[in-house]
Amino acid sequence: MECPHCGAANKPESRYCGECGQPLGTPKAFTCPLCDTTNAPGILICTECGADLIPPGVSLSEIPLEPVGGGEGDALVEEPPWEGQYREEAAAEVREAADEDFALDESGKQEEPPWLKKLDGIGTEESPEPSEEEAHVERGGLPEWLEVPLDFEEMLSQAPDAAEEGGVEPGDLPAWLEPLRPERVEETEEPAEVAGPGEVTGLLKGIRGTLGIEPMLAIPRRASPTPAVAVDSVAFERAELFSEVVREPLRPGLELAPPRRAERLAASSVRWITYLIVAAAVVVPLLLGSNWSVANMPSTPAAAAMYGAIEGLPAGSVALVSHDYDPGVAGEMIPQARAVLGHLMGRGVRVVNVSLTPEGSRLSEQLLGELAEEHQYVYGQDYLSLGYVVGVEAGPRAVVEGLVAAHWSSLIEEVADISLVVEFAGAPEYLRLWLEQVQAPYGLPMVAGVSATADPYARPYYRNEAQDQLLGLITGFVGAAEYERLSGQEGVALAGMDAQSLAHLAIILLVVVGNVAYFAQRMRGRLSR
Amino acid sequence: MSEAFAVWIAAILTLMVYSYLLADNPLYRLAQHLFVGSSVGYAVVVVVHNVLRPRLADPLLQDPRANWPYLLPLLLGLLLLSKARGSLAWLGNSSMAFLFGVGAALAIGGALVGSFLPQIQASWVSVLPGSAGGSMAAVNNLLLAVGTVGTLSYFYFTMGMRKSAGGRLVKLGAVVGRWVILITFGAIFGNRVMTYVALLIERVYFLLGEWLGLLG
Repeated sequence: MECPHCGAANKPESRYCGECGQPLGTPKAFTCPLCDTTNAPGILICTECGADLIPPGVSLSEIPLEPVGGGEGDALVEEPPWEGQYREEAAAEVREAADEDFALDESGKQEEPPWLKKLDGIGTEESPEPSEEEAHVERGGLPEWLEVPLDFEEMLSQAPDAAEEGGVEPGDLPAWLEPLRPERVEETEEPAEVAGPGEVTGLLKGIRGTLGIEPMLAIPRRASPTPAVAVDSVAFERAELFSEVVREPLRPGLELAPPRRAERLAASSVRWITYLIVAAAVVVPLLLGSNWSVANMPSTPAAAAMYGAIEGLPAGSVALVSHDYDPGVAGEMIPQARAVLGHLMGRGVRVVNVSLTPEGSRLSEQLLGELAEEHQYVYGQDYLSLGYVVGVEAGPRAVVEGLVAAHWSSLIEEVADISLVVEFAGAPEYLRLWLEQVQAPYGLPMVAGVSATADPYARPYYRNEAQDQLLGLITGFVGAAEYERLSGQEGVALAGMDAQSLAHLAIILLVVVGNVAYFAQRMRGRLSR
Repeated sequence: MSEAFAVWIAAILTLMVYSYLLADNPLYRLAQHLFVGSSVGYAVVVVVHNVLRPRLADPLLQDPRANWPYLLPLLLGLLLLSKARGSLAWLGNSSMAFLFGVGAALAIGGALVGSFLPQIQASWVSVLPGSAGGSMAAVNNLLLAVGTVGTLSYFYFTMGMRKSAGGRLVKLGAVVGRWVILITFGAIFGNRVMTYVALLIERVYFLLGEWLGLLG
């Protein structure tokens, strides 16, 4: 079969073009075998009477197609072999059903159906003509006052005339009933002629407007028309383009071939080169022990403010320190905590340690033990470790109020005796918990060390225009290095600064090279096209 | 001896995790499963030894008459366990209601006084150099104001964007807001990369220093 859209040759049984995907024709339109209604192409159940238009067992692929846009001169579609037979069978079934009920007897009269025979004999016996009085009673056996007068029809016919002549006045109705008075109909319209085909067989032959053969066949519901959708020209063009792209056949040269060994090796090499560059940027400065960044690293105001806030604490005051991080960010947070706790202990500040994460309590207790030994702090007198407190809203509040209730070392009589809250937050939600549940309600001064990931969320709280919610802020590994330098404690953060700077430079270089390669490839593709 | 053993275990586990650079492999999976299992196990131990025993069991056992109110949280906690069985799950509803009620009340109250109102107040800034405290501060405040209004405009969906002058203004603000959001995402991504580099440095420092002893 030749495609009407692209002209490609297709198999005779094909319904869609193998080349362009367009339909090769529209399904044949069928005439209902029962009511002779011609249905639209593609309809398989009669829209008039609901009868099946194709026999059961016939598949959709067996329905012949009519040419697309067929007009005069087009060859007629051959009738499928089953269609004539199906029409004859359906017509025979209808005739048979009608003959069973209304068969003619030998004399040519129509034979009564069995259900009608049961009524035989009723009312057929001859009886004497009833008298007027008897007839009066027989007409319904009603009392006289309920009987309809014999001249009722005459009276009824005269009633409108009397009303028109003004002989009958409209009755008085109360105001609240007046709206219910029936309106007078000026002209009575003749009932419209009943539409629809007339009955052709049986007792109702010639009568129009009768119901279909509902007990035998269900009438399908007609789908409501699809509402019109307003589509602007841009969306329409995009839809057209999408349709074209989807229908476009795969060109022979575009099949995805598995990558060759050389290509796989090249891709793998690029990956390994990237790894090696980053690894070299980290390992080499550590091995060399260089400290170029330490001498040239600027000190940020936020770190200096944090250092100043701790430096201003008097010896013997109490700082509440919370370690809210897990091993995933411990590489950043432990250097921060070590530097800040070392500074607090160096100032002789009493430390209350707590954690809103189970892992944080373990990590911080290990750190606190090392620093307490170094600064000769005595547990219970100079520092406390409250361990893990459940990290929900009630946790930080419970810590502060519990400390006050416990009167630790008689130093904390009220919340205001806590000189500073120090928060180490691996994630921003922990910082918010302390800010919202402790700092803001109790007005306690607070500083924070956060992971680099949490920094964008913490920054708005540092010395904003409204209030000093965070007096100081250090961020990530760099913040730890800054604090180590400010407090004169050299640690892993300062030692790793050159490595971090070099790793950042390497990453920037790789990003630039990757982008240049990408745009060069794009330009080359355009030029080749 | 035990410390050296722990260092060796930590070093081997670190290398097993880094073996993922080659490809997904059983060593990496083993390290991953060990990490998840030990984390959960450790959390359970901490909860038992740090919360349930000292803050619930000990007070009840030592002085039940004085500490009988602790029975109430114990009961609520036990009812929560019924959530594991579908037919009995309704028993835990009161515990959940208590948790959500207290949590929501504290969260809303705290967010209002700790974040929402202070941040709104902090966004009310002067863009005039005289009152802002210098030209740089004024530029900074202007960026803050434009970024805040633009970001709010980006999430304003209920005005026809092309039909009125106000709608066009909101659309313009939304374009600015989209760029502000993109820059913010860029900053967050950059900081995340910084975190990963810091973690790499810490691990390399551990391997070279504590394990191999190559660092002075």
